[in-house]
Amino acid sequence: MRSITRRSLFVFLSAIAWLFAWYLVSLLIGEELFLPSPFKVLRTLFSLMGEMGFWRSVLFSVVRVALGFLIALFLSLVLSVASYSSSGVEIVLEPVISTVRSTPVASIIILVLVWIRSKNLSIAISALIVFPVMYTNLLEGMKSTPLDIKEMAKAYRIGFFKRIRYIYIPYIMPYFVSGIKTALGLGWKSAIAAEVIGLPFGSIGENLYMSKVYLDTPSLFAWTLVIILLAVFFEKFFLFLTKMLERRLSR
Amino acid sequence: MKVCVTLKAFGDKVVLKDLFLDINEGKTTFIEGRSGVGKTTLLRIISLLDRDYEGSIDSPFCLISILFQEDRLVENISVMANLRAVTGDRVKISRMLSELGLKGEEETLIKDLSGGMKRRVSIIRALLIDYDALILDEPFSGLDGETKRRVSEFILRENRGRTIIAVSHESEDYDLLKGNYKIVLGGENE
Repeated sequence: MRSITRRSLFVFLSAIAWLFAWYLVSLLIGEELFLPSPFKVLRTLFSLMGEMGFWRSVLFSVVRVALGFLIALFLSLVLSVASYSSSGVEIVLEPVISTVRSTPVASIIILVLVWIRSKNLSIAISALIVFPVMYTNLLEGMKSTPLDIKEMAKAYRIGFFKRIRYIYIPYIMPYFVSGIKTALGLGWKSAIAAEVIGLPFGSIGENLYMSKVYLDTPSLFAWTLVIILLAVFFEKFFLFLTKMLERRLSR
Repeated sequence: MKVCVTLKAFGDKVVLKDLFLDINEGKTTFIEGRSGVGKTTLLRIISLLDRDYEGSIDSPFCLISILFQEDRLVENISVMANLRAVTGDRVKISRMLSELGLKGEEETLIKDLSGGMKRRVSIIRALLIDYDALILDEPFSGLDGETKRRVSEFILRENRGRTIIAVSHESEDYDLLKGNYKIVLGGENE
């Protein structure tokens, strides 16, 4: 515990050092257009936060990314269970999963833009990026359940729902948590990239793009900071929910 | 229960051959033998977990409970969760835990228990479900002398005269479980 606190302190000090380095370089360049100082970025961020449009944009993107994530979570859960129960389903899904995993995000974004309105683009992109990660992790988790434990469940005539709760979930959980950590960051960044390409009105991506068009670099940095903070919040929030669920189910 | 195993092999390796057993209902039958003689294999056949053999079983038992040689507990959930998987009767679980000296360990994760404690939890789990016959594979492995005695008394008390088929490589376990019949795999029977 003490070493964790010490490490956190060093990480914090390291972050301060990097911020200071950023400040020094910005002073050296002396041109806000190329590199605004951290203070300027913070001032811009606070000024943005005072506008109603800022919160509307944050809400627009957050709701869509979260919706895409939940859709992907539901689909990956249903399809991983189906694949675990039948190798036929797994074989049928394998090319789809591999294709989505290896296709560049930019190609997926442009393709999806052809099919759906840009307003819902981030929902689709978030779902498409999160789905293969969660599906693969959940399936791996199910497969990691030891055969002797499954035999025990059969020998003790443990029913379907109890088998899921007390046998499968404990083995799936580590894979689920690791999937969430990877998928959320990926999904969030891809959804914002999709917004920058698709420019849905009132999204974070649109604001990011407009900052670039008007060469408003402090605003570009401020929006980037917002994206980073939201990504961290998303990850921490879902991991907190997962931990709560895990604690509840393990008792 | 009449057990007839004419052949059980793993690949080319013959484990059991021409084995005929008559197991009496309501009695404790003890199967003894040195390591690797096929005791666990025979228990798996009797408990109907292994059907890949030549022979037949004529069993009057509808429900069988088995204590596996390994504990087979889910390590990252609590003692209570492992036991609740087989029954919803929390009062019974608490009573049994208390009788085996595990009171206060309900919320402890299995991975945080000692080997002997894990063994006791798995014994409780085997006794929690409904059964006509109880199969015990090396029931006292990892337990010290005093705990063995306590656990054997607990098993006999909870079993309430139902059929027990036990396997062990230690002959003192026969007396602990008050055995009625002893079958020595690869030796003389009593």
